[in-house]
Amino acid sequence: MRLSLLPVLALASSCVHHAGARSEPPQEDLSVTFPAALGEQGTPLPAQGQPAVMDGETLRALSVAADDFLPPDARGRSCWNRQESYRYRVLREGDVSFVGIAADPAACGAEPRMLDGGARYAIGRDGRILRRLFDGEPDAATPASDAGTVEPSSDASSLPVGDTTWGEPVSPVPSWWRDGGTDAGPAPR
Amino acid sequence: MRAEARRHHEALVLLLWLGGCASSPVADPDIVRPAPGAPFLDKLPGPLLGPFDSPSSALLAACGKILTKPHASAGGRDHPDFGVRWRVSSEYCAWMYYTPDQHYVVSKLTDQSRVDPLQRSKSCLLPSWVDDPRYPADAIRYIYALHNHPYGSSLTENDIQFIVSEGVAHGFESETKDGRLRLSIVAFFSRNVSEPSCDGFHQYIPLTGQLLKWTRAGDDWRCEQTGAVSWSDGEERRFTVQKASRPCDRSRTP
Repeated sequence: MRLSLLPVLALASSCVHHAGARSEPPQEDLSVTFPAALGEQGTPLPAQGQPAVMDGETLRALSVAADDFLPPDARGRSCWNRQESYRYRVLREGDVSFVGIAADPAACGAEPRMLDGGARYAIGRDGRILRRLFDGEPDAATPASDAGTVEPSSDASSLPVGDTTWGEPVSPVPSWWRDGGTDAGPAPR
Repeated sequence: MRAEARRHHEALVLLLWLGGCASSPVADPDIVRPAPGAPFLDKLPGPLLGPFDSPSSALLAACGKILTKPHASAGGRDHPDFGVRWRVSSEYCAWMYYTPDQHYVVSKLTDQSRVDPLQRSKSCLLPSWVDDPRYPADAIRYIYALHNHPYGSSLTENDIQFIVSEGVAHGFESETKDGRLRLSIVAFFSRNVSEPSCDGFHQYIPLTGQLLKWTRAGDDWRCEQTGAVSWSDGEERRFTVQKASRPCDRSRTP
């Protein structure tokens, strides 16, 4: 007997928090790998009063990635559901634009900060999403490495588990780390 | 045809995993969430676990507690149902804090997260503050920001930015009966989906820049330094990660 997929999926999606009506993305192109440089600091936009130039292809790649990450029907419910609450990195390699999206730490002052929740995209010249990878998701194009499934080879640690007392402090400490209490404000009542 | 059969299978597995909707709204006294339509919680109630005499015992208790919550682990990616397991997986987050009476305590958990219509994105919105009615708000010292990574992946850019912002707010180290403890963030993982256990965690300590990976083998714990984070001095809050692979050793500081 042939099982009809539609009612099963409809029931399943009704059970998932915040489930929407959008379709599953097409198969990913695993020949496209994310460059490590996408995670680097990058070049910021010029100082105020200085123009920055962006070609249309880059603009489209950013737009496609940002709209997939936060589609219109998911926007506005909280500060973290606004496109302007994120920082976007873009890197071009050949015909592919890679886009990294991460929370802007200064964007949502009054709301709790976000653990994980970022993403990376690879966008083709025609604006197609070739790959998307969300924070914490395994990268199907690379061998498993950080999942904790590989047995460690080193000896047992003599340190108490999670100990934070043994390393040398970084020097110098960034000056903005010493602002002291300005990020969280007073404790909420 | 095979792809269609696989989709049928995944849909059925998804239903089974979700327990026919029964699992989502069940109230768990360990977990706090905003009411429907209400803003995100801006403080977490405490305590959930404790008091403990050492930071390690509090950390391990929190690890076991978080990883046994529903769908906290997605298991290995080679499993045929990994796609479904990832979609239904959840992140939980909490604080481990130090109290004025010299104990270590774990707050309640939350799984409040950014809305994602397709459940692809995993996140946890951890309030900056713990509300433990036994103590004044400013007497609590924040030691570990706790959460889980369902696949066990490394700490993310958002995790690293998060804990530095919390350090600016609360301080990067706290005086305790066990010495000066540095603020850090950890992401727990389990290797087993059906019987989750505390098998390890990733850790970042802003004050030393260390990225560490702790793994359990039987009763032994092993620690590897997997990288170091360095920050730019500018207000734009940018950092770079230098990867490494060496044992954690008091005599070989980074």
